[in-house]
Formats: sequence, structure tokens, C-alpha cells
Amino acid sequence: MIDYLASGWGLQFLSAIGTSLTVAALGFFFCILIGILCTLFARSGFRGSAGLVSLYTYVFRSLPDILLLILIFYTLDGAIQALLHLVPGMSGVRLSAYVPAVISTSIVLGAYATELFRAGWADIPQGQHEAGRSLGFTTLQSLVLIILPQVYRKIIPHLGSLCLISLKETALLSIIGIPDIVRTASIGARSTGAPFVFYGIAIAIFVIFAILCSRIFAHLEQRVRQDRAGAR
Amino acid sequence: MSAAASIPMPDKGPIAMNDTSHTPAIEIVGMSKWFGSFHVLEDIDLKVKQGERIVVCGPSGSGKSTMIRCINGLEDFQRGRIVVHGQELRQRARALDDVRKKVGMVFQQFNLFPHLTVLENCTLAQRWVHKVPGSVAIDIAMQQLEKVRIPEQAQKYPGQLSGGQQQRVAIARSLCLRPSIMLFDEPTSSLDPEMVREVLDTMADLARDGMTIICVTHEMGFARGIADRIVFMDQGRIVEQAPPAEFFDAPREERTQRFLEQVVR
Ligand SMILES: Nc1ncnc2c1ncn2[C@@H]1O[C@H](COP(=O)(O)OP(=O)(O)OP(=O)(O)O)[C@@H](O)[C@H]1O
Ligand SMILES: [Mg+2]
Repeated sequence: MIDYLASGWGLQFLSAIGTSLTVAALGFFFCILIGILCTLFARSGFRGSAGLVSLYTYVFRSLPDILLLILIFYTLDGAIQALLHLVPGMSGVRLSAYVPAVISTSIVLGAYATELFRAGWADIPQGQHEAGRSLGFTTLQSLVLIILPQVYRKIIPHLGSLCLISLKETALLSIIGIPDIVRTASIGARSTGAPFVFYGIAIAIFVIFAILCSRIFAHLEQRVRQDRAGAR
Repeated sequence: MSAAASIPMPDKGPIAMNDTSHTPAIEIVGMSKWFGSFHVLEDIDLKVKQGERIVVCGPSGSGKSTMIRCINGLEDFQRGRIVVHGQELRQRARALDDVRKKVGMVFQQFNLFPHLTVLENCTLAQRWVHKVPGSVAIDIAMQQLEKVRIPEQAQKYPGQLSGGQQQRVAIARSLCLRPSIMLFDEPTSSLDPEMVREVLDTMADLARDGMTIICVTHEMGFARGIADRIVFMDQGRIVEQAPPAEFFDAPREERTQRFLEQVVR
């Protein structure tokens, strides 16, 4: 194994880890953003907003991810290319495959995040909003200082799983040609004829990240716990 | 109710006169409110002088909470006017900021922020709404926590306190913003009986300091001891208002009499 890693595959894997982690991190970040924004929109009181958000989460949680990725990848790529053509001087620009990759991961994970945030939000008593208003906080202040920190505390264990899923989701990127961990492993396996070594390395990487991820979230959960001590 | 009966009577002497003392603290004129087609408040008229202590009582569903929630804009209303310290509350819950800075509110369910310590609960609005520098905010918070007699709990979280302690923190949290009017909506109704007293005592202290108070409560002993005036509501209307002695001993309206029979036995 060391031989393979030393003969250039090590670097390949390092860059693959970078790729996967970057897409996962961006996807995780944007899916949280989507979750918060969709929750706000669903609660905004606009006619049909809640139904629209439910439709979004329903569709994107019930269809297979791989289908969505391909679908989003091709339609989005086409749409973005078409848009770029409209801008003078941009017609020659090719979009990196990473953009649709991140967008599709975010949209799919965003559906899960939205469900999380909506459930967490629904758990916050109306009185918390009222206390904020009566103390003079603006809507934004109340959101950032009072409501979201409490939602965060309620959903943090689930955010941990979402973080894990976002890394797993990057394995799908190999099908649209992005050299992620899985794709690198499969290329290595094919060209060297040592599948166990290469897939073994891929598995090891995922396991290590899973452990790191759960460590981090266990720590975050621990920090949040202190104010629950003695809570009713 | 018996717990409150022996509360020391605050001095009800004249309030110190100042240049604005002629403007009423609160003036509600011809106010009406509907929830959909349900007429929850009908033609409410209420004038509260500065430093006056009003207790609002009445049967469940009579609109007591809704009325006091209108005063700090937690509810909007459709008709009439509410003027707080000379500032008219717009009918469509706007430009409330000034009014909210003058009016503190304490809820039945405390509504402390569970993710913040007691001290942070008391400094958050100071820092973000009133832009008070951090160390000053802490000083003010500690002062108010001392006033409600729990400075030693400052570093705890609300979930670690008893109900009575939590409600006193909620009172301190409001006081940190230096309101000139305090609204209480059944502040002792969700407390165990043995904790009612400590909260009522804290409110009696406030009354003694000349705070303008409107309090919805069923603690009739407290009402008798503290209030300048009792307002009785039924079915969305103010049916009767009178000083406690008159209200309890010689109620004019039949509905008031019936209510008092049920509450005071
Ligand atoms: N958001 C709302 N939507 C519709 N109806 C409401 C709403 N809030 C209150 N009501 C109704 O308005 C009436 C008055 O309610 P309110 O809470 O002001 O009564 P209350 O006098 O405070 O009663 P309680 O002593 O039970 O607290 C009740 O019939 C109640 O069901
Ligand atoms: Mg009520």
C-alpha cells in the first residue's frame, strides 16, 4: 500500500480528499442556509409558502439522490451556459463541474436541513418570540440572538448526521466526472489491478472522517448541554 | 390567594410630581379588536395615571391578556386609540419601538431565554436594543438581580432555577431596560403555591417604588393590598372599575358580584 501511495497515488488521494471535503463543506454550509431560509419563508405567512416548502422537501427527500444529481447537473449546466451566453464576453467561459456539483448537493441536503429546521423551529414556544418583541428586539435580532440559537440546540445531533451524509453524498460526484475519493479509488483499482488496496483506502478515509465528524459534534453537543442541566 | 393576603401594604402616598405627570401613562380610547369575526375587545376605555397600580381581573376568556398585549403592541387592534406616554400606538403595529422601550412585560410562562444564563438574559436587550456598553449592562443587570433578591444565581441557566426564581429573573430582565410601565399577565398563575409569595413581594417592591403597573391576576389579596384601582372585565368589556375597598365590599354590577362570589368564596 505504501508503494502505491508513494508512486503518485498518495497525491491523487490527497487532492481527492480536498475535493470531496470542499464540496461536502460547501454543500453542508449551503444546505444549512437553505434550511434556515426555507423555514423563514414557510413561516412568512405568504399565501402558499408553507406548501411550496413542503413540496420541495417532499420531492427532494423521496427521489433517489443519484437521479437528482444527474438531473440537476445537466439542466443546471445547460441553464447556466445559456445564461452566460446572454452576458457579452462570457460566451466562451466554461463553467467548472464543481458549481453544479455543489448546487445539487446543497439542494438535496437542503431538503433534509429544511425539515430539521422546521421541526426545531416549531418546538420553540411562541412566548420566546413574544419576549423578544416585548424587549424591543428587531425581527432579525430576535432571529439571530434568541430563536436560531435555540433551534440549533434542539437539532444539533441531527446536524451531525447531516454533516456525515454530506460527505457521503460526495461519492456521487464521481458519476459526473469529478475526481472525488471514490472515483480516484476506482481509477486506481482499475489501473493497478489492486482493488482491495484502493477501495480499502477509500473506506478508511470515510471512516476516519466519520469518526472526526462525530467527535466534533459530540463536543458541540456537550457544550450545549450545560444549560439543559436541571431543565424541566 | 391566602398567601398574598398578608403582603405588607405599600405606601400609597401621592406620586412625586414632575413636569410630565399630567400626561397619563396610558390612555385607551374606544378600542375594539376582533380575532377574525370574534369580537374579543369591545369599546375599551381606560386611563392610567403615572405611578398608578391597576389590577385587571375577570373570568377566563374575557380578554384581559389581549387587552394588555395591545398596550405593548404584541396584538394589533382595529378601532380606537392607545396612547402611551403621549405616543400614539399606530393601529397597524408599527413604530412601536419607542413604546416598547417604556413598557416592560412579564408573562405567565416567564419566557426566559433558556440558552442564556440569568445574567445574559438580563444584558442581552440592554446591549443589542439599547446599545449599552457591556460592563455597564452587567452592572445594571446585577443591580436589578439584587433588587429581586437573586444576585447569586446570575451564572445559572433558567432551567436550573425554580419557577419563582425564574419569574423574578423575568421581572429583573424587564427592569434592566428602565421601563416606566410594567405589564404583568398572570405572573403567578403557573407557580407552585409556595413560590407565589416571593413573586408578589417583588411586585409589591416595584409598586412601592412608584412604577406604573397593570397586572392581570387572580390574587385578590394582592389586588386589595397593592392596587389603586381594580378593573373588572367580562366578555371583552370593562364592566366595572373601582378602588379595591369599593370593588370588593360594594361592587355595583351584578356580574362583578357573581365573579367575586366565585373567586373569594
Ligand atoms: N390568537 C387568537 N386567535 C383567536 N382567538 C383568540 C386568540 N387569542 C385569544 N383568543 C380568544 O380571545 C378571548 C380572550 O382571550 P384572552 O386570552 O385575552 O382572555 P383572558 O381574559 O386573558 O383569559 P385567561 O384568564 O384564560 O387568560 C378568548 O375567547 C380566546 O379564546
Ligand atoms: Mg390571559
